[in-house]
Amino acid sequence: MGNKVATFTEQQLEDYQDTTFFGRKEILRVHRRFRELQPELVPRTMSLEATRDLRLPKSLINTLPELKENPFRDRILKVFSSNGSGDLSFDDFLDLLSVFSEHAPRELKLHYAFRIYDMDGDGVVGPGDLKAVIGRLCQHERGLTPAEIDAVVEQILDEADVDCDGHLTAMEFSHVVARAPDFVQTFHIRI
Amino acid sequence: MDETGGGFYDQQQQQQQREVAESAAAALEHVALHKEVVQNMRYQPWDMGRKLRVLRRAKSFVRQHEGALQQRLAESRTAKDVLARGRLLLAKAVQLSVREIRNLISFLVPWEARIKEIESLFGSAVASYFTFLRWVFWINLVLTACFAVFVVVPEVLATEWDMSGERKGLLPEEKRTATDLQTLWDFEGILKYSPIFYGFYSNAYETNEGYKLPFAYFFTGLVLYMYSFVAILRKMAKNSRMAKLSDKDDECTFTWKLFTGWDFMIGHPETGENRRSAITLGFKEALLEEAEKERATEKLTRNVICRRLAANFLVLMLLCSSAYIVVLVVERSTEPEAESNWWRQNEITVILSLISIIFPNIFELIGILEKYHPRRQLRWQLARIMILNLLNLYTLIFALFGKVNAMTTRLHRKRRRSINDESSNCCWPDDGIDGQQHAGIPVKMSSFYLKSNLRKLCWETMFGQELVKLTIMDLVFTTISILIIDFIRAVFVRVFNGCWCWDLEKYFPQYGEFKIAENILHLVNNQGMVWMGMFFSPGLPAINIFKLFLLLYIRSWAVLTCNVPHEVIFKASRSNNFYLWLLLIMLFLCTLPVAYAIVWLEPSWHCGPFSEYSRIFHVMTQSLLKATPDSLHWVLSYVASPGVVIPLLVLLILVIYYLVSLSSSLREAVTDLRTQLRRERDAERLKTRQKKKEAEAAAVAAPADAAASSSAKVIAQWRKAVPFAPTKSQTILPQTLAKEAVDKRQSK
Repeated sequence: MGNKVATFTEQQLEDYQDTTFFGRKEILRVHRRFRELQPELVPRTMSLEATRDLRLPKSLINTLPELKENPFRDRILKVFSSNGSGDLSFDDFLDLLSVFSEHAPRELKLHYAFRIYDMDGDGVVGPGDLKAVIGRLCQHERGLTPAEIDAVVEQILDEADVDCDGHLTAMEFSHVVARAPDFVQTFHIRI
Repeated sequence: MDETGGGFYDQQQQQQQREVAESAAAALEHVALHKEVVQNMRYQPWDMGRKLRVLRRAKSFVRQHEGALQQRLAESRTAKDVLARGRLLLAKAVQLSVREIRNLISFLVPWEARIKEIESLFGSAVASYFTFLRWVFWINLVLTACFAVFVVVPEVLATEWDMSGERKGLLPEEKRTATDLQTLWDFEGILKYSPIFYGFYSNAYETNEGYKLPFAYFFTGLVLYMYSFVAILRKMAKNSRMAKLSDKDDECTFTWKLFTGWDFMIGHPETGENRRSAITLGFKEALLEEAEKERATEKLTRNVICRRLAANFLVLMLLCSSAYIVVLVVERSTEPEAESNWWRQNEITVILSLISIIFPNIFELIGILEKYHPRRQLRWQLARIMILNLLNLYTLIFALFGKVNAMTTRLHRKRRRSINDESSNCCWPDDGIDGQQHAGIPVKMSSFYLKSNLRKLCWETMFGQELVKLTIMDLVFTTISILIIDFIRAVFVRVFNGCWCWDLEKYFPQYGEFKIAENILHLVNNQGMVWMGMFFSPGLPAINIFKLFLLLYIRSWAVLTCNVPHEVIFKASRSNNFYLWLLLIMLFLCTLPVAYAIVWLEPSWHCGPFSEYSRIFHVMTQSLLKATPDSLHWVLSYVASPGVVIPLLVLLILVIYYLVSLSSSLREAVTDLRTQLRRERDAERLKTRQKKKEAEAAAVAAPADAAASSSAKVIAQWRKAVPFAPTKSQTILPQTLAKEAVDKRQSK
């Protein structure tokens, strides 16, 4: 219990517990992971300013084993970075892990999944976004041919694009993906 | 004057009070709304800074107003206000303690880091085995705790050891070997006369403190079986609620493959590469399927049919032979020379464990012969192993019940004689194993032999001992097989790979893979044994906890040191309920023999808590009869008669029938709606092009009347911004947000 006094004030911990899906133990663990990335920069005692303004560069956060293999890691960091640069403050980092945690509801996960897969950030997942996602997911050698990729994109739009405007809106996306049996389990990072 | 003045004053005061009360109510409502904001803050898809700002504002509002409210409430003395104040305090305390309890629970969850490590290396499928193991561990913990609290501790503390006859304490002649390893290994000696087994418990109707131990024993067992059912069903319901209603997997194949294909937990390059190739392959397969939907599913050549027939025949032979072996072994254990050496004593357990380890491997080899799709092959393999396990358990149980019958008849003979002889003031005569009489043996010489012989005839303890031994032996064999199949193989491959004529890592032995399905089945089977033996051996869940604990460490060590990620990745969640179904079936099938023993078999007359009754369940019925007045007895007997039970059963069947037909009609409705949706989409497709043109034309013509609808837009924006908050709090969030927006502008 001595640790909790040193890192955050009781007030901060309470607030974090109200804004995330973590308990005290997890919040401290997240802080430990955050600090391990660059111990000389991140202080042991986090003030309000430090949690908000002290940012770690994305190149450093990409080295986390949880993100290292993820083909969407740059998108994740971009979505969760509060200033849009991809560098994360502690608040952003905690937010990220909270959304990916086990207890976060499906709707919240869907919201962020949509933003992650919306590669060009235009508010809809269009054919270009889909192609980019496929490109990241499939192998580079022995991968899909361009014709096959086109076929897959066509199939996806056929399945999910309810109003046939050539792209998926957030509504359409969540409508289809929410029914996927694996979504909640796979959109999950354990810290 | 005075009166009217006083009346006026009173009225004024009353009005004031009313106003106070009304404003207090309004403030209370306001505070409640703000509290709701605080509670729902974590569901908002905002960044942390904004969440924290709004949260702090709402919190400070609550604090201020709640403080003022409390002060005001504290000053007034009306019952309503006192009540309200109490409610405020209570809510605060409840909120605090809930949070503390949640923190404590998350603090107590074990092996989180270990499972996480495995998850990041092997993906969620392998980790699902370990989370399943942990869940089974919790179940066993509950079983153990209940048995300990309600049965074991009262028995140890409260019963009188002198009064319990042959149940407790070793014979002096047995004491010499009671703590030898050999004896302990067989669960004889001091372990046999410990609370682990049924035979230890005494039959006194009540202890001195008034605790009805036999009744508690029976009732705890019953409740724990029900608890197991409820625990599994609750877990299943939770899982299926998570998966919503998605009975047709192929509905949105491509979208799901794309957006849920990647497992965000993967943190290992090799697993990542495997997953990528799996996704690529999945897309290719799906495209092919889409292209050739009309083609016949699979061409069955004569060759394949022959192979499959042969494979099934082989499997059937194997199953039969395993059943035959089990029957043979149990029969051999009743022979007189069964105690002669170590091998004969442990024959049953060793053979059973060997079968459950070797036969699945043979099944796998046979599965290769069949040439099914890997997914299909896995399913066949699972079904076969499940059948093998059940067959083995059931043959064992039937064989054991045969043994029990033999023991009961011998016991009966003994009892008759002992009663006769006690009346004639003599010792019990010897009763040889074959039932021959050896008359004329002196009392002192034979008494040890007699007593130990009698003690051996407690069939309930024997039943428990068999299952406990089986559990332990299974642990030993699993450990050995992990060491050989995984560890030594991995060491061999790693060391000799440099100096071998082919690539050991790529071709023949390779590194072991973690067989999720087989291992989960192993857990299910093990749990089945525990449920079966639990009633006659209350210590079995505790032993099982120990076993699961060890198993978790051994398995996770083996996975992390010597296994490689699966090449074909099966998803965890889809099979989640499948495993729970297996567990449920196992539980049901394992309660059947126990129920049979409780209702049909006669308990031993010299050991265990139910020795006074002619059937075990009589402890329940007789206590019930004792507890109720005589006038109610006819009601009870009527309720238990076929006159009530059969109509009840019929009613239940009707209800089930109704529910089944309801759910099938709902499913039909869902498919209807789906087709309707599809049709409408097709119609829409035709319209869209026209609409697009129109819209383009309209966009040029119409200047937006944005100003007029700006207020409506703002509200809509708020609605959009707060999509997951309940409707109530939406009324208040904009206020706080507006303030925030003003603050922001000022700070800029």
